[in-house]
Amino acid sequence: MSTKEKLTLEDRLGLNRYEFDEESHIKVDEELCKTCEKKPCLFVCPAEVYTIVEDKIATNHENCIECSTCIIACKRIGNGAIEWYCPRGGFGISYRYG
Amino acid sequence: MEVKSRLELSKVRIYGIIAVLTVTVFALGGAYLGVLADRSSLKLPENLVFEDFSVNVNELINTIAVSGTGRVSTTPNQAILTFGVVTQIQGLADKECKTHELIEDYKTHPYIANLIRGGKTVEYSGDIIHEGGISMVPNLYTNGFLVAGTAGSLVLNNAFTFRGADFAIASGIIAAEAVIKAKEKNSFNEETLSIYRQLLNQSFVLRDMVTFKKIPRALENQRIYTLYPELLCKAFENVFTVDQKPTKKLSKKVKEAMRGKVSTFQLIRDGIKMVRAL
Repeated sequence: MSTKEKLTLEDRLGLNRYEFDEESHIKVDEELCKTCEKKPCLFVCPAEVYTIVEDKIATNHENCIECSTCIIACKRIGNGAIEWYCPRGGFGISYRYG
Repeated sequence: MEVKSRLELSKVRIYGIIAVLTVTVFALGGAYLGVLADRSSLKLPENLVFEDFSVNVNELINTIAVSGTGRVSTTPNQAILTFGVVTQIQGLADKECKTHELIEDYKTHPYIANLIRGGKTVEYSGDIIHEGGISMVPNLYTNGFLVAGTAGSLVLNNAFTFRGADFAIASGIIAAEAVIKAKEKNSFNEETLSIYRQLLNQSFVLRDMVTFKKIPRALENQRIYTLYPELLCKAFENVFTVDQKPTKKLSKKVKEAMRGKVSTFQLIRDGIKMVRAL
C-alpha cells in the first residue's frame, strides 16, 4: 500500500475495527426521501453508507463510521428523512488511533 | 522560453500567497451547518522526519471548487500521523463531490505523497466539527449532566486560529469546579448545575465565542473562497504579463477582471462585513 496509490473506500473501511450489528441504527423515511431533489447524503457520507438502488436510497449501516454528518446534511439541505441513532452498546466502530 | 517560465513562476508564487490566505480562512470558515473532517491515520516509519506539513492544498481543492483545508496532527509517543481534509457540507452537496474521494486526492497529491512516503494507512475515520459559533452552543447542563468540549459545540473558528482543544480542557476544568460547588450543596439538579454556565460565561471560552459571534455568517459567503481569489489571480496575471500592446493601470485591470462578476458595491460590502466580523 504505497502512499502514491489511491485506496478504494472498501480498502480503507477494511482497516477499521467494527462490531457488526444486524439491526440497523439508521432509518430512512422513504416518502420524504422520494421528494428530496438534492440528496446530499450521497455525497457527504465519508463511508458511502447511502447509495441509490432501483431509484431508492439503500443504506449500508455496517460501513458507518459514526460521524453523524448525514443527520445535519439531510435536515438542512435535504428533506430530513434520515433518522440516525447511536449504535447499541458494544456495537459499531471502535477507533484505535483516535 | 525562459521568459515564459519566469512568468509562470511569478503566477505560481502569487497564487501560493492567496492560497495560504484562503486556507487559513477555510480552517476557521465554519459552515453554519458544520464542517466535515475526513481522516485517515497512517503508520509511519520510526525514522520519519516531520517536515513542514503546512501544505498548500488549495491547488487540489480549487480544481473542484469545494472550500476546505488539509490538516495534519501527530500522536505523542507513536509514529502515527493523522491527516485529513476539512470541507463545508454545503459545498460538498452543491458541487456533488464525494468526501472519501477528496481525502485520497489529497493523500496522493505529489506534494503530500512525498512527505508521507513509506507510510501505511492504518485507519479511516470521519468527524463533524460544529463551527456555528455561539449561536450553535446547545443547553450545556441538565439534571445530573454537564456537557463540555466539542460535544457542546465549544469550537471557535475566528478565521486565523482554529480552537477546540483549549476550550475542551478549560470547559472540563470549569465543569469540575461546578460539580464541586454542587457537591457542597449536595444537589445535582438543573438549578444548582446552572453555575456551570455562569462560570463558562465568565471564562475566556464563551467570552471569545461572543467576541467572534459574527464570523460563522461572514465565512458562509462563498465569494471569498472562489470568486475573490480568482479575481486577484487574474488581476496579477495581467500585471505581470508584458506584451506589445499599450498597458493599463492596476486599478483598471482589477476593474476589468471584476466586470460581470461582482459589483464594486458588493465588493466593498463584503469587505466591511469581513472586517467587522474579525
